[in-house]
Amino acid sequence: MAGQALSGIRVLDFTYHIAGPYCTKLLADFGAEVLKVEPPGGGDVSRRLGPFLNDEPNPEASGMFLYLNTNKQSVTLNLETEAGRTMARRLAAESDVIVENFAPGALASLGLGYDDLSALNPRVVMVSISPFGQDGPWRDWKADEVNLHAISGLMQITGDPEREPLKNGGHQALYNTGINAFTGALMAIFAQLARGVGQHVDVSAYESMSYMIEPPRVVQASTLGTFTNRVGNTGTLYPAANGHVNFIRGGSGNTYEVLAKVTGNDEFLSDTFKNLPLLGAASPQVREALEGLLVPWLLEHPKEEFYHSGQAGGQNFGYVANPEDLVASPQLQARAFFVDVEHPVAGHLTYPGAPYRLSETPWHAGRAPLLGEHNGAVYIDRLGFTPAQMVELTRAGII
Amino acid sequence: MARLLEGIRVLDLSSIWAAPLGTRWLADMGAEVIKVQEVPKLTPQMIQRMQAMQQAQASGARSPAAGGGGYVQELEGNKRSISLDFETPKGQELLRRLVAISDVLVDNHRPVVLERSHLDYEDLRQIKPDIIVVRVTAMGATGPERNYSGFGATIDGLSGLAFHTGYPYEDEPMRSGINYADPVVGMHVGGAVMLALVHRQRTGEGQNVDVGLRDSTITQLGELFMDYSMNHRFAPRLGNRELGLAPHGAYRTRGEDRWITIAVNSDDEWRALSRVMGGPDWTQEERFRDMHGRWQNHDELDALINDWTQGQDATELAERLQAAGVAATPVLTVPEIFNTPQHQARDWWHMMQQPDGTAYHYYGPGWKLPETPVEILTPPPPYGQDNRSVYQGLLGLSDEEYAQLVEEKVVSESQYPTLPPGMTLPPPGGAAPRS
Repeated sequence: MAGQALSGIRVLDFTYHIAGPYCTKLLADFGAEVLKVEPPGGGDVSRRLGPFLNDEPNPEASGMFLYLNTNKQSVTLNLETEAGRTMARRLAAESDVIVENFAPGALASLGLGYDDLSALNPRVVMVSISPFGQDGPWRDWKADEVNLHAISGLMQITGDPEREPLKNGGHQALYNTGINAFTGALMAIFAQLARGVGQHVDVSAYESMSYMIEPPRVVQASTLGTFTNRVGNTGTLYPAANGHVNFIRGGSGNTYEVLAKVTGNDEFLSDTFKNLPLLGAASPQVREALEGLLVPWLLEHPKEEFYHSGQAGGQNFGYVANPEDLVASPQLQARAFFVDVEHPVAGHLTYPGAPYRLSETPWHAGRAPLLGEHNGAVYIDRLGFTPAQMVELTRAGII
Repeated sequence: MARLLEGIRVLDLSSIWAAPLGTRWLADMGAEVIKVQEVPKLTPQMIQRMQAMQQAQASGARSPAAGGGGYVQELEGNKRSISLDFETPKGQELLRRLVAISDVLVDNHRPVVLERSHLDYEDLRQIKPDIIVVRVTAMGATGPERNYSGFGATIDGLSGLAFHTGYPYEDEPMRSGINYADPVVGMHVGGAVMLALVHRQRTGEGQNVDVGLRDSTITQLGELFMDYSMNHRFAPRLGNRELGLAPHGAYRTRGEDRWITIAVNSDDEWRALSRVMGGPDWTQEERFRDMHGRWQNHDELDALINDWTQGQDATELAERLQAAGVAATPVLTVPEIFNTPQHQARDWWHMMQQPDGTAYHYYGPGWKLPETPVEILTPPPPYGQDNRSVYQGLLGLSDEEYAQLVEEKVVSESQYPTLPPGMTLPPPGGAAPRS
């Protein structure tokens, strides 16, 4: 789409699963022309991951795939064949950016590494995404979501102290890796535009997760060698009539005065809550006193009431929102955050929208491609193959 | 070779974690980031901070996080620091003059703050037509809740992340152990500025960027919302598991509260795990033969694996499993994250020197760009360190004009306010200060 930040920038996308596709989704949603290369037959592995429409496995109706591959084009290409690799090199020669997340060295062993492709296209930016980076003693180690939460220190401090440590919900480590790859790609694109240089960007999921811990805890651990272990929900989440609320003290004014007003209970103005430190965690005694007053009120009131009335008092009050709350949120509706996207197989679905908005170069909602949907447009129109040759390539398992 | 963003000046009005992390990536790549800090006012919070400082000084304790709570230490390397009260008329005028010679302005106040000072994007582009303005807010810069406040700790709930975090199939949502939205949004701020810079490089146009903490965090939960849209349900909490794949989890190892994580994504990896376990009979049972069976019997599988892992050293076991082709890592405590062989080999942590001769670990980014590398050249600046070089050097104010700004408290040279004559700090926990 013209008029976007990355319009006209050609990206050749060899990624699969979550981290790499999230990077190229961001590039595509902000206007880059992303050509996704999938293995013939099954395509991207995420086409086989749920959730599926009506729980029926279908490579064109995986919620994971549909979300992570918006605005891309798809071609099939078998990189295990010499003919396939030759076609990949031709595509690479006319691309600005190449993104891949194979095991380190895998593409190079096929003659499609950075050295091979930059020889054809010296300005090219190649982004390689891997669990631990392209070098070092752990280069060939594998890591999935749970392993990345563990090795980065995040997991030890999340969850119930009496039980096993817990990772965050969803695929946070892989999404974060995707954002780092996106940022690294943009920096390299900037260097390409401003100076005409290409380069090989090395993105490590491990490094992407290693700066997630609060800076004060990092400095404390580095200088004193100490850390505070996980505390579960203690002092942070409280049950309400229809779910949970959470809040932190601070904001403009006195939190306890606002609590007194919100709950209509003057006990919050008692000496227990006077002259407390305004910053930092409350003592266990204060916390118990607070819970004793607040929880009975919360259990008879909806979480949204607590949120809006606290915010009206200038306080950082919140609640635990579920997908239904969010899709129905007046704030998110006013911002038209969620977008309706039509897909030929999966139909009309509601997707999360832009991570942020740029006034002059808008984010664009689009759909994910069908497997090999753009074979004709790319191989016939761009590379000049004939329909008869396409039949041959398909029969030979090359596309 | 010049650094990537050499010559790009960023005015950074933001504080704490998310937005300063975003501007840190710019500073690391060579942008001149000028952090604009508040002129201190005698608020109750400030008095408590001054009491804490006084106490720390009196006890002689060296607080590693003194002065910045740790955020400054980890996020402000390579940056410059000035102070400015831009809510005063003189302060507004100075900020406008700085905008006129800058490329990017980053802010994370509630939208109303810059608007009432006539420093909104529309005002600023009159001064600098190609300015890039990045506004980081809790709920986004538009909509009925635009002036609501929120931090990583509350966005965790408001975005759906806490709803989706928790032990498998249990009813209780769980808070992340960190204020998770902050670093996520920090990464996005870096990306958003780079997008706007790429556009400006190609067209000469600036723009207004609206970053909402909640919006950005929701986009990290795509499959949860897709499931809701497709199947009108909330995906179950899965703890450390991975839908349809087993085993995936944290298992107890030798020592108190020590754990290993193991993730098996194929039958080949399952056979490799079985071999490392020494091929006990139970691994041959029908119920564990294929992925579907293992997923269906995940609880029993976890218990059997726990029997095997407990008593073993997490790090040694992870090395053995990785050598066999199975994804496994120890659960590290925070002090253990610094000196892993991989971080050391890739030289990822920078040792940041402090004025007293000690050093601490300063983290790196998630990407390496060999042609335009990160360089950490200067430590986090003391509050207001660059007041004179910016106001006098860049804006050309005279000594007298500068002194006048300090006198009028438009600019401060100390991060703590001067107490009015006759007033002393009360002891911590005591009554409000009396004059």
